[in-house]
Amino acid sequence: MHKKDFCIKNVSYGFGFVAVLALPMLVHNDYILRIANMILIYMMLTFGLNLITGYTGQLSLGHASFYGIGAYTSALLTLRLGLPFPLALLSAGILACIFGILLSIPTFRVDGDYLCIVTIGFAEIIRLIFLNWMDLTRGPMGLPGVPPVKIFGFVFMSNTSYYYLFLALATFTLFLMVRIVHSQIGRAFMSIREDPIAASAMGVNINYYKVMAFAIGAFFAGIAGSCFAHYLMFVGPTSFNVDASLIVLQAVILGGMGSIPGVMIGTVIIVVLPELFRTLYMYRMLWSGLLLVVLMILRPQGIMGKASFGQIVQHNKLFNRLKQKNHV
Amino acid sequence: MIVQQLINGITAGSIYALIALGYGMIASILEMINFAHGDTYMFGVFICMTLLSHGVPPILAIVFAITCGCLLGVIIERLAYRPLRNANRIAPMISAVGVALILRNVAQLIWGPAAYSFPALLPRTIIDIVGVKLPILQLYIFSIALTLVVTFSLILKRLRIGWAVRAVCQDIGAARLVGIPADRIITLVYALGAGLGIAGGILYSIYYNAVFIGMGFSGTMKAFTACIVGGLGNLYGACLGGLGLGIVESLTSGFISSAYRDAITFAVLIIMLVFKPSGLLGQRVGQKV
Repeated sequence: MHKKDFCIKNVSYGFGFVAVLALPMLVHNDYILRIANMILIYMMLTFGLNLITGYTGQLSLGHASFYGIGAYTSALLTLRLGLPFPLALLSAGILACIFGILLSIPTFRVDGDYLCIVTIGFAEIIRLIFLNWMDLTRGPMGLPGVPPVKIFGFVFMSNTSYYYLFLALATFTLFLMVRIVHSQIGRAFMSIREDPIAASAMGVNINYYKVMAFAIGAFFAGIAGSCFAHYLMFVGPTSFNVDASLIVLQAVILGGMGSIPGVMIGTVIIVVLPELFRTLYMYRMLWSGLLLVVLMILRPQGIMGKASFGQIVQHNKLFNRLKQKNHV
Repeated sequence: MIVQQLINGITAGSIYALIALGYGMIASILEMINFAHGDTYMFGVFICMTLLSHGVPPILAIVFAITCGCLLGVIIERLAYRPLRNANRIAPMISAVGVALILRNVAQLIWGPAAYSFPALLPRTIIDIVGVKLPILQLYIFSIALTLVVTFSLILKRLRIGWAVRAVCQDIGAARLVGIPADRIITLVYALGAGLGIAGGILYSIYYNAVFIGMGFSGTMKAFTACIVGGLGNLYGACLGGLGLGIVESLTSGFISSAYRDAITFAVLIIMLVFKPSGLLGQRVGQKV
């Protein structure tokens, strides 16, 4: 990379970071801070799904169930057992991680669209359990009165304090994701996405890395769920249906699978757009369906994507052209 | 008790078989998971219900609804699936998810989120055969579904158009070479699939006396499960899978808990996909490198 380019990049990142840090001081509007907080929670979700779907190529529509497992775990532990928040947060992540490992087992046998169906089935079973296990989750009534976050005696009450908490967690996630992606593990993930058969021929233990991708992605989804539960102070089964998974997947596809900055942009767009067009709120899922169709046809790689289902198509087209040439 | 549950299961299963048949055809031709299948027929059933509640004669309403559904299927195929026909398998599936979202939300804008009751088109009397109470409604539903399935498989077997459909199923390129208009056949299959789905959906609504937005998604998942259980690409398998699914479901809701009826569908689906993805009647296809 050019030295000048490198300078510009670092300076712009620096400015961006300062702006993000200073946001609560510049904006005193609770509504905007609330949106910012939701963006940060969603970012933890999309980073995780980006690792599973964007980097490893395992299409999952079950991400919201990890989110839900995290939310319910954290809410129940603090409500019923009175556990402190840091412990509840960690256990939410770990339990979601265990379920992530469970869901990764079918990926040994199925992939692509079939895997997507398996993940939907898994998500629906989890949702039905949330809805019907009355003793534990209170079913459709949900769990109200989840206590606010309290760390070492400091109680988080304002949106600003939550903003910094979520910012710290999201930044930690981002840092970890960047490190993973640029390591040998990240290259193994991408090799599985590009060609699993070739990857295993090169000595990549496919199943091991698939489990790892699901475990890491689910862990951060669980963390995000815990944040969501304590921030809203309420957990209900309707927040974790297939539509919620679709929104996360949409952010990843829109931003560009396998691109961390792209996914960040995608998340911001997906969370902010419905708020901008508040009057059109009831049409939210309608245009998001439209967006999926148009994206798939016109720009399957998203805004900044490096890999996409579309690119694989281009490979195939090239391959076919080569084949035809050789035949003629 | 168990006989009663079996009868309920066979009735529900025959409806699932009908829905799965249309679904399985699309899946076997284009190797594509049509996520919008259930939502298409949900739309059709809503149209039928609206017409019926405005006093249109039943036969006319049903024919009109099925025609609308066929048209809808054709339009969706043209706009959302055909541009992606040569793409990786996942792209059309995500596009189909988008279409399903659009249909569901348009339906919700028009008819609202509430569940409606469906007008009783078939008699609901109960006859008694050696101690088993047999609602005549179930007999009607089963025979209508069976007739449609048999007619349909006869069309596929005996008529020229059926041969063309089966040829396109086996190999689109080779079918084109022998002069079959593959694009037109695919459009026809989408239309027929949607039509069969709506017929199944109307039977479902009559049986459960309800029309609601969520029946689309659950119908898609049930049709897919039936196809997977029977073996994707095998139409008899899809019908048998549908019947089996109906029986398993009604036994679950009869003996375990009706709250987990849908969970059983998904559990069957996951177990089948993980342990025997080729289905009970399908043959295993090797992976090409």
